[in-house]
Amino acid sequence: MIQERYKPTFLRKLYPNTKLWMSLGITFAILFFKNVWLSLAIMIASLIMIAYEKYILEFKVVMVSILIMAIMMFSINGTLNPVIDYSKDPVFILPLLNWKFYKEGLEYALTYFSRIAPLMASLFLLFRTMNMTDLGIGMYEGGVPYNVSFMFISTFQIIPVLGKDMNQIMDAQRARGLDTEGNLLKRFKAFLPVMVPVVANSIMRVRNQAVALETKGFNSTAKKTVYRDLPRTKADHFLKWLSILIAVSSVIYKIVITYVLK
Amino acid sequence: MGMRTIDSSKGKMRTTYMAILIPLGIAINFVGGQIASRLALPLFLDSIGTAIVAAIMGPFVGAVSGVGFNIISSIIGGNILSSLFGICNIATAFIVGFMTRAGKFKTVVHAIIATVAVALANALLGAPIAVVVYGGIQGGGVDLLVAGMLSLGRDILSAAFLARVPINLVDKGIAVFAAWLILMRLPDSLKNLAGGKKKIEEEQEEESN
Repeated sequence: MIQERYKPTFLRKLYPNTKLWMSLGITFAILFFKNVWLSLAIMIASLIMIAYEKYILEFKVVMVSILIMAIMMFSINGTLNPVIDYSKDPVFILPLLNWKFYKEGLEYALTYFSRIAPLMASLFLLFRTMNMTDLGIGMYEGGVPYNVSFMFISTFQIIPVLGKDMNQIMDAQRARGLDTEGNLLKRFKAFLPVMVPVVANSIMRVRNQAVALETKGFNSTAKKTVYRDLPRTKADHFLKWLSILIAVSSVIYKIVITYVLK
Repeated sequence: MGMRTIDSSKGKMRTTYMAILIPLGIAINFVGGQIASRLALPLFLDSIGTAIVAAIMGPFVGAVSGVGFNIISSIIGGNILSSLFGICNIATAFIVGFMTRAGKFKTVVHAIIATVAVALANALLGAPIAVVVYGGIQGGGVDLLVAGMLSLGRDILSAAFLARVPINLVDKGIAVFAAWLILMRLPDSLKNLAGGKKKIEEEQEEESN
């Protein structure tokens, strides 16, 4: 998770908390408006923005998982979902395999898919354009206790360290004859010899880390200051209040739809 | 216990340990999942850290670590809805944490009981989340079992539940067992961070007497 310094585009220059508000607004809008066309619009907009921000290469991984999910959802729900009325004619029949797809099942799958796929794309964009250290500092400036924002930043620093450990230990164990390929049972047996050293190493480091933190005044009650200066622009305020407005209105819409206009 | 000069089980030092061990638990969860995918195992194996932190620091810290892992992995993966599965990790942390606090996480039998309890709790909590968020099909290895259950004529909630029981049994079993194995090898000074610290200290004093 080492973050490179990119050319600052509009999305990268936004204050991190603004993006948190934006993701809240988008999530609420998709979950509560439940409109396929809105989901499609958000999906296309975020795909265009991902291309503009040059994240296409990284987005391929997410795209593959979205595609796998789509295939699974539509094929399983379309053929086997209990909401299907089997007395009706199927919408189409897959040639060769003779799988029958029914309308109700496909609609059921579409409801859930139109909820998840645009969320995955838009939140991927928002969080990938965010520097996680900036986000931690933004949280601290927004009133989150220092401990919590420290834990947040520290997690993103510790994951690559442990990942490096894991690679070294895996290579070392392989050099000693550990079989990491082959059948399922062999691969299962290879899990613990890799996992135990990783965990044991990291727990042995805990005490040193505690002493280091203590000497640097982690528990000091004085107000902590941060090096990074994150500027806030007019666009930040505008987008923040816009997303809050969208979130609140979607909740009101949902309440009105379910309780008032029954 | 004359060797210990700082009481790390309460007060300010406990905050420091929490600030280190919660991110560590999240990272261990993450690395466990990475190793599982490197070895091409058909499992998640991403609750080892939660179990270890719950055993060392008590159930509530473990729960924070579990929820934090789900939030952070969903930030990295891009699917923020999957952070709702953090509720499953809370159950794991509570079961392991309270068993450790009661001093019932020491023998193999204890580990097996914890495994079964954790597996059932995870299947019970995971199935409704999967149904509400994804409509039962989440795009993973579990789906094939769910499809099999559906073709046997089950409704979607019970299919999602029944498919998760065997997978969770292996998955959380290895997680809880790994946590147990590692705990047995930890130095006593770190074990004492658990909620049941007083009992352990008393036992050790009795032994030394």
